[in-house]
Amino acid sequence: MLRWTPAELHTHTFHSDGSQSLQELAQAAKQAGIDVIALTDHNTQSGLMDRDGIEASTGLRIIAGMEWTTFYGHMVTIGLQQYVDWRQVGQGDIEKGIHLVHEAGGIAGIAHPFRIGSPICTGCYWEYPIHDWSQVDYIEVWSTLMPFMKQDSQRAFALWTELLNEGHRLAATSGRDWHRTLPDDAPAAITYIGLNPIGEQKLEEVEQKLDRDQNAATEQRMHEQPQTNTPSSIDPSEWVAAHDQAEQHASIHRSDDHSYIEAIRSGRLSVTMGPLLDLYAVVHHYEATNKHEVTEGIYSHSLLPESDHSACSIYQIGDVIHTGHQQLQLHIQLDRKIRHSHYELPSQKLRLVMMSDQGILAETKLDSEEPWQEWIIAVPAPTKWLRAELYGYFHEVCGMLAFTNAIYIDGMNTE
Amino acid sequence: MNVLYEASGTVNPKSTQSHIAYRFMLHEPVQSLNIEFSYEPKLLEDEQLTEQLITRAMKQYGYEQQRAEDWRKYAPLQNLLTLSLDDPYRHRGQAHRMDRVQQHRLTEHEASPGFWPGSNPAGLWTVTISLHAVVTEQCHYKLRITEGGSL
Repeated sequence: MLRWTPAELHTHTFHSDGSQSLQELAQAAKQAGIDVIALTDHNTQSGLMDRDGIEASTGLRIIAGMEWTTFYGHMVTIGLQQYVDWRQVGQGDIEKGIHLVHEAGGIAGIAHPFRIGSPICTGCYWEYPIHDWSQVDYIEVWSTLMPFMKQDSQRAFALWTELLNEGHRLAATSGRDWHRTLPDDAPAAITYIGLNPIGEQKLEEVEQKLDRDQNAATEQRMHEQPQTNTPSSIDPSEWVAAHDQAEQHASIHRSDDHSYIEAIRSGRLSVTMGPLLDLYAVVHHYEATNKHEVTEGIYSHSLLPESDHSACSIYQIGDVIHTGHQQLQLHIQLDRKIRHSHYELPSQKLRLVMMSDQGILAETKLDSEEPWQEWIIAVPAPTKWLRAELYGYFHEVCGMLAFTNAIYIDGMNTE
Repeated sequence: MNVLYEASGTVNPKSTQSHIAYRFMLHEPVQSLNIEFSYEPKLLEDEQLTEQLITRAMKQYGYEQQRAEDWRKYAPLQNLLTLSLDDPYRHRGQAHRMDRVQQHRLTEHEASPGFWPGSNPAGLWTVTISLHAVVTEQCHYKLRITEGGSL
């Protein structure tokens, strides 16, 4: 199953208009129970200069990013291996900009698309036409503190749902847009990134090997350089500039962030004000075994039935199910243990909803006191996408407290 | 302090959401490159115009006014000009912040927040002023590039 890592994907320091250093931001993130941040200063990446030391001293992982703070929209770019110039993109060609971000190894997400725009908050409202939504990796559907109660976040969430209904497959995140840390800050949401423990580990090993090979090749080229170029043919200032450029590149580039970037791009994400919602689908191969029955019910941890997965396939958040089968079994898990000391959830009955392109497929009540619960339901056909949503009472406000990204379904039988 | 380049100009709301690029020649590499950049005014003082611009933006972006005074929570409006820098070989960073008066310094080992340190090579440099918002009738800016010394 996925290994969930609490992350904050939209942060600033005084390298742009934040009022905190990266060290202060990193310490505050660790205190909030966050393991990964993306540093996304406005139109600069120079804050990354201190990254290695701060990661070592705080234990926080810091992914390279930059918020394209343009005149017609703000776009969070993360996982970049180099600077991509936002100034060259006009209102008609943001997709060209997104293409350049992808070429630089990054992903692009639309930040706070419905925040009030210019001249109040310059470029904050998304005014770029998107012709091909498959180019956009994600939408930051929850923005700032207590996002679920804010109208601009609710509009962004509705846009995401509308796009899913149209058949687009794109991820959704939260972003604190973290400029400063104050003692009486209201709660922020968390985006959990789902890493595949085995697959990602292998991927990282391969990437690290590639990186080592690449570094060795670069070193070899550096040694070979004087032999292939006579000193008189090298412009010294060019040589120094190339060296500086390589250092700057090294500060930004790091291949082992790739597993996080890939997880975000694939929508292996669960967003929450507190408890973690997980979701997976089981497709039973009836023809093969003919002995499994779809079960419905809520289980606490101790009552969880032993499952036999030998004759079924399991799909996780972000996956696409290619199935001709009529029935899916959905497992929704609510984890109150993870990060529990970092939020307060009053004792209550929480409402858990299975949402789809067909609207609400099912809903149930869960006890907020239980540390771990699972709800298993059968999904009626036909459905294009599914996600879990959690509603309840939090910091004196009622609303949506958590949602998963979608599981997508291709070719579900309607008969 | 040796002045390497100076420029100034005036913009108005018609120039908003555009870039002004200054390209200047650095004939010799310099140890320390200093940039002084300022603009004025910062705030739009005209209350009637402020209300008009905010009300229009609220309508445009789907922010309904529940009460007649709702526009006030977005006041005052302000000009926002930001500065970015490219040396002949690479992008050196940007200072995206609200300050009306800014001083930046780039040396081989240190740079002001937003910028990358490194050598300051000879060649054609570019300073770009990005006009994110010009809300006042006129906005005057000044740019001065100097070499060496401390600011």
